[in-house]
Amino acid sequence: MSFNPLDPSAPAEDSMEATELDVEQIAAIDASDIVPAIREEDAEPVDEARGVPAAVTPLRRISGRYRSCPRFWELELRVDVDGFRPMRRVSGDYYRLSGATKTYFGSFVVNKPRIRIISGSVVIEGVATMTWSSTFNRLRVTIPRHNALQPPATATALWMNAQRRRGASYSCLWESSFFRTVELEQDQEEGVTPFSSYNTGTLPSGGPARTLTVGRAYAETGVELRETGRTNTVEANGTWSNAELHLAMENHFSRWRDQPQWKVWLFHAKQHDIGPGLLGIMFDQKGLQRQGCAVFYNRIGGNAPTRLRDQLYTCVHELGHCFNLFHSFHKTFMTPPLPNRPLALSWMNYPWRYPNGGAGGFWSRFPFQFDSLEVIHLRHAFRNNIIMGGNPFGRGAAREGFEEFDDPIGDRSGLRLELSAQPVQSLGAPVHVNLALAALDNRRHEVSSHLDPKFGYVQLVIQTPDGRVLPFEHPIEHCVKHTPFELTPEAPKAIPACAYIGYDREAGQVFQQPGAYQLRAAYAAEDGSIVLSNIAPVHIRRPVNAEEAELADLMLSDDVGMLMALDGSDSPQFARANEALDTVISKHSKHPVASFACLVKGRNIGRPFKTVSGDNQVTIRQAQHGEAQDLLRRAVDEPGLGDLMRMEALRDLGRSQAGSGNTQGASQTKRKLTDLGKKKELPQAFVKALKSEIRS
Amino acid sequence: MPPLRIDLREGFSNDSVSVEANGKQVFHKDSVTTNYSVGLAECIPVEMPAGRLTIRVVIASRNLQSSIDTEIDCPLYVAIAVSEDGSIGFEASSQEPTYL
Repeated sequence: MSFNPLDPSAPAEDSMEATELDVEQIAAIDASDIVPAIREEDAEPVDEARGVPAAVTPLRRISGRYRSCPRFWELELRVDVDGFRPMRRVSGDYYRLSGATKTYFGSFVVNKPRIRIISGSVVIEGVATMTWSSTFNRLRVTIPRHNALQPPATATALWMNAQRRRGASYSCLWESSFFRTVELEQDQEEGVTPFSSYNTGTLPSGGPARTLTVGRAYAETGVELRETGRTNTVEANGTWSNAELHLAMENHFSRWRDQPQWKVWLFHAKQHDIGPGLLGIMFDQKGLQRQGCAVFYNRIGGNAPTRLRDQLYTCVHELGHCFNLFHSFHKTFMTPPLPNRPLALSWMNYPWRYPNGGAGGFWSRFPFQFDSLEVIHLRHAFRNNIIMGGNPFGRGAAREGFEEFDDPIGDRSGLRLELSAQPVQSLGAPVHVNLALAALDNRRHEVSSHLDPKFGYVQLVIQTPDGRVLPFEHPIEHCVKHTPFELTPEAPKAIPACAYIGYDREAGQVFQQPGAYQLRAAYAAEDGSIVLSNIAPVHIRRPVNAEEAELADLMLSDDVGMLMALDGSDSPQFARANEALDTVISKHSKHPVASFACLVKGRNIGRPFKTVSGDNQVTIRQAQHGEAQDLLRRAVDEPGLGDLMRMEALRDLGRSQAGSGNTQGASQTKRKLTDLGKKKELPQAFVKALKSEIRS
Repeated sequence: MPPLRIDLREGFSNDSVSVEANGKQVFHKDSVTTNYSVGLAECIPVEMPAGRLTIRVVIASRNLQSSIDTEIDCPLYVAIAVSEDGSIGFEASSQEPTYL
């Protein structure tokens, strides 16, 4: 029996007991919760006498792998919209054919497809995130609905641009119910009996009883491990170093090549040089990596149920590294990082590190599966992020799962993430978002105190007017100590955040064209839940007069965007950007954008600034409190800033007052913070945190 | 002489690291990097007599250092990790730690 580790009365998250889902059920979720779906297909015939559907031939599942006929391009298409743990995605890889050669070109994933049933076909449509640049980034996949007695249907993939002009189209034949197929070769050291199978009902667990082999564990994820059948027994003396394991792989893995390929080697050995405490390792981390791993039986060999369970866990775990999966508690060390998920009931965790009861707690809850973000990676990662011999270990590991606007099939996290932004803004206005996390139930939730996307706990995606989906990244990566905040029935709201999102690390200025943008955020909870926000629309309107046109020109340079992201700087590199802000403040003082300029300039000059010259001489420009306070007062008093930002500006003003010895002014500002917080009904913890930063 | 092992765990990235046990340098390397396949950078076996033990780690590349005082009278395994905020953490156990 599985259960939800956070709520004894709720069904298990990602429960193994969940029945497979029809695409009709998924489309119905789309229709009711997300977007208006057109359901033109007739309902199943109903036996009115009994009020139940009449017996009909069941419909064939459509999820799986499809492949186009090889012409100039070959498309491998992965459709994931029904069946077991559907992740509601479509992804694919393109290969370029030339003569007898075939080379990989690029990958894509549609993270938020709209799923409809139209005239007997499933139509899946959405904007793709791609490894190449194209305006034809809207994909529509159409698959006729066949029953189980008919052969699998052909999928038609049609690319379109934002104006729905048709691009390339591909007919893809059904190839497999698996999303990936990988060749697995297993060799063993002499004297080692490799793992065969384990019945998960032998010992208490969090999932249904079933017999799992390594292949079966991966098959449940949608990945086929196809044994090469070329098993060798390797004679060895003593323990193994990583270099020796690598050499053994080169000598004994019959499929090994120094190139990316869907082939992996699992070696069953006695002991690593590190000692019997090392149960397994993905040792292949030089050159083309992740092609081989080893499991060590010195401590976990034998037939006792706990030993067999450990052998299964270790084999699946090490192969998970070969698929470029990091430990659940090491996700922050990936490139790019994701929040750690120490509570994940996943093959990639360490049972003995499980925060809720250690190994005992873990095993009693573990349903023998990967967590959802890992499943998304295994099924839909861009090819080089997952293929053995592709990107180095940790690069691009499970990023795709977070670049999404996708709604979960079910959400029992008990949390709500609220995203808001000023809905209409003039071109050039610095776009900020407010983020707030709240508990929806009476449970206690430990959440992060740092919701600004720059700290990594919240990811933000932005859909631009031309349909591109941009995963927002702050230009400076901020590492912050995890500061938990407990949500209780008495204090159900976390500390909100106001974040500038106008300048992206890769894309530069984000809101530089007029039109309709959509924003969505996702918070990664410690238990692995992904809490999605509402979708916040932002309309960037065209300048309505010469003043706004000039403001847009002044504010939309890359330097100004970066200066805003840095909260100001004295660096000579930003001299022109600072001049632009000065012009905004002096020439357009009544425009709301001037308040943002005052805030950034005020914050910067209200703090000391160190300059290190080429000969390592350090010059410190001291805080200029008088001028800073004038600017910050203007930012607070003039229209422009939202409530949260106005509160933060008051904090900055109070800090400057305290820093200049004006304790009376600082105290007054603290009182203003209290009053404004009450008036705007902001969480007390937020007001308290801001006031605590004013040390008068 | 009870066995002592010092494991450098997560958080190391091309770091210059020195480890001293009771004032004597037992490890130094200029490019210590965590292998996240197992969450380990280095395993350092050390021979020390039973009694009081002070382990000091210096990460010169980040201007960080920290130390721990403990007693060694049975097998001792000390794990050292660098957290995201740059602080050095120690974990001591008489049980050999498990990695995979």
